[in-house]
Amino acid sequence: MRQHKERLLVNANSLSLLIIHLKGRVFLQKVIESKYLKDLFAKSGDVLVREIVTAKYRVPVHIFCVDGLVNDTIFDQAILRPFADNERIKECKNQRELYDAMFTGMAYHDFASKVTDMDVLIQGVMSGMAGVIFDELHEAILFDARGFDKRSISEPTEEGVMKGAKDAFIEVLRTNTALIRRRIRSRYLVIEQMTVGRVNRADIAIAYLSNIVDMDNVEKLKKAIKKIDIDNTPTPAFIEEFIIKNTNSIFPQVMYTQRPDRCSSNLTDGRVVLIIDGMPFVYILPCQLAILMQSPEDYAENYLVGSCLRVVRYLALILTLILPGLYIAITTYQHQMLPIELALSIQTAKINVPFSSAVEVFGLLISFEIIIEAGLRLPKTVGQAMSIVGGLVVGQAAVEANLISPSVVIVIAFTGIAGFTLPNQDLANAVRVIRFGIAIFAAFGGFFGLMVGITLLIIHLCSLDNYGVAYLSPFVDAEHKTHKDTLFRFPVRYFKFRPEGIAKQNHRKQK
Amino acid sequence: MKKAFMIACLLLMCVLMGGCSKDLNKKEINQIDMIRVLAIDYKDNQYQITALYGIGGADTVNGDIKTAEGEGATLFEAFENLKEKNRKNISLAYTGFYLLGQGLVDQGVEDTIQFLIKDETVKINALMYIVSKQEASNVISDAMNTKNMIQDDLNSMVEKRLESVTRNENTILWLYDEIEDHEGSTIIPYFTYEDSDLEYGGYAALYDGKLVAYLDKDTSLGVDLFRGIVKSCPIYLDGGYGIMINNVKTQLTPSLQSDSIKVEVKLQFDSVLRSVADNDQNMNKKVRNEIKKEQTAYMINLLEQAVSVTQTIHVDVFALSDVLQRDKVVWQALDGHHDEFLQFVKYHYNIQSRLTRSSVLEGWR
Repeated sequence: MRQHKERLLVNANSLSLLIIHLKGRVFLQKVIESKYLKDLFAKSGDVLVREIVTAKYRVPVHIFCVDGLVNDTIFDQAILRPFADNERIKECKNQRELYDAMFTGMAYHDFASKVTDMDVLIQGVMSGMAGVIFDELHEAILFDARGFDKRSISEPTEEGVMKGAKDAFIEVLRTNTALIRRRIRSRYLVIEQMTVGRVNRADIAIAYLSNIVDMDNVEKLKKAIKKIDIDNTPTPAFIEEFIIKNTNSIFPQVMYTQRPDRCSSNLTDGRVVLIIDGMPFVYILPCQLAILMQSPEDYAENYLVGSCLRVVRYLALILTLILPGLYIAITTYQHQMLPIELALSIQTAKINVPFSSAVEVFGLLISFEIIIEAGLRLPKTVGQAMSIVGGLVVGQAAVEANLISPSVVIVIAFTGIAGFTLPNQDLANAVRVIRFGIAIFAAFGGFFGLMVGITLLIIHLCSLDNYGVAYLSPFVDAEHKTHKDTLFRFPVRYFKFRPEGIAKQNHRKQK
Repeated sequence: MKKAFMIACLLLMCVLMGGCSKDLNKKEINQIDMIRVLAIDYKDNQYQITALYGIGGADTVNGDIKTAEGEGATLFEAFENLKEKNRKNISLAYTGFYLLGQGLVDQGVEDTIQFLIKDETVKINALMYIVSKQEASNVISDAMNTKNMIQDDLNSMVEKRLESVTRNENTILWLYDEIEDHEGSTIIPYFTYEDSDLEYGGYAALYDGKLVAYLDKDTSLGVDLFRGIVKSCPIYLDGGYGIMINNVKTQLTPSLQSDSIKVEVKLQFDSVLRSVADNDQNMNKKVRNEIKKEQTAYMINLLEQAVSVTQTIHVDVFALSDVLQRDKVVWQALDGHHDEFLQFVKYHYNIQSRLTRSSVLEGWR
């Protein structure tokens, strides 16, 4: 490869640019100079750009780091101390000698990298690394001396299990990758790192097992991430919406997990994991409805218990979706479906209520959502008190005042409780919205409406495709090999194959 | 585009289907009165219907009962009259019992059954009973006066009956089919009602939808045996033997004779000796054979009694025409005499039974 470099000084902001001719194309590279950095961060009190010199020949270099992001001990002992103590460094007569000495082990830190691009240097330092700048060479060495305060690894808040690992991902990418590596000690585990966000430059890593994964999916994901051209990615939606195909679908098309064990089992299934710095969970792709319905508890218990729990969960999903609509349909259109005793009980309960069943159901559903929202916004202790007041006191008073019938309270309470059994919060939120839609269909057409609503929902679910895999897979797959971990959780010895559409190579999991 | 078209089709389908019947029958559950028992009478050339509602609860403890009446020259008119008089809409969807008065069964029940089966809200497995020798409305008015949930008594009667027969053959759908298929010949169970007491009486035989005769309990049991719906029944033989008959199987096999049709009635059952007059009696093989002979004679007597009645009243109470139709040769031989085939039928009985001991009878060795 032939490279012609030509220096071109640009006056603006004291920035020097290096013009690189590579394969007939011209690239501009910002040249590393401490003066530029000093000007750039002159008003930032936490950014340190300071000159230090070697003890004997007084060779000048600049250290560049952010106070609070670097580990002081590592920085002092591994990077600064050699300038005073190390004999070889003392003997360095110029920056070239010093540069070579530091990079070849005279600085007592393993994770060092050479940098020639100003952008890379700044990004590294902003993410917590420490840089040593050699102005004469227009080069720098980046030491990974990150040491900012971080939350310790604790129990997952959402996916807790009684029997199983208790660690969860935290907000720091490197800790999260380490948690994954600790569980998968395979040489094939690849963790590719990228950055996203024009301003925040968040670190993002893609993890996969190269001997199992469908590389097309990895490439698609990388392409999607590269396409993200946004200032900041402060919340999950800023990434999620860029990496999924059907953004208009309410259903979650990317699964998140706080659990490293769950993440590792999905990696071994051939899925790709996306780790984002600043988010205490990782994303798993491709995502299907079946994996959203799986809970870590299923695999911690005996397979029969696990299967029963999963069947209950699917039943709860169906109930939470259709129960309000079903109640409206039955009490407004097809009452003959009820046993007479139940019909009379409902009739008695409703006899003095001035509203139709549909109004009652929608009113209570909305109240339920308001209570949930209010509970989330309030401090935990106040939230609990508010739930009691909202749910019990107001509910009881409303029934006694004949504003709503007790049967509707039971139906909506059961609907809500059934919704809480869903292991994935994104799915639970989607279901919360969809049940309104189904109830509206039922209010207009009874059972016909209900069936139309359900049919539309199934059509939508069937139309969803996630990184080349059907959203309802493996339910809709002709291949029965991987059906053993769907509605029922079969014994582990039956999990012989990885999901067909996901793992493109190395299909067999066990003999 | 294709998706939008599909969605439009689905919605259109919903709207079109909604057009089938009055705003999809939209009625709030608290805006309807659920009829539990409907009594239908015919008096002075008028249909009179009396409905019993359960309101405010599933039973008399939690709720109350209410009645409403309607009358008209036709059942439809009477029904509309009932709706008009009632404050709320009424629904037949929960009507479990239809009681037919003496006047109606004398006049004919065909129109009534036809009317009910055509109503889309009627429960097709609702049961029909004839109230023997009185108006059906008496039962409901009496229940109203005594605050008695008559449907509970009727339910008890049905449950008790289902202990001895395998199925109810007096549902609206069954009766409709029988009347359609057997030229109006059918049987409907009847009960007597005296002093707020319901008592199952047996079958009422109808021809052309009109009452021909009330059959007594033994004859009705014989009819059930012929129809093959007996699950278990007790019989009492001379000498104080009480026997429970179980696992009854009936097979009717017709065959063509020179001047008649022979129907072989093969009756198989198990019987359990439940009581004896003298507990010290030695139940040796000879005694057991005697009992078996007696029970065979008893069963044949039951069957013959039923045959005798059917030949007297000329009503196909056994639904024998169904059996004969299955044999093409026999049915063709009766060509032109399908209405009067009963007179050509001769019965031959083949009774197979197995007498077993009851564990309570310790003396049986």
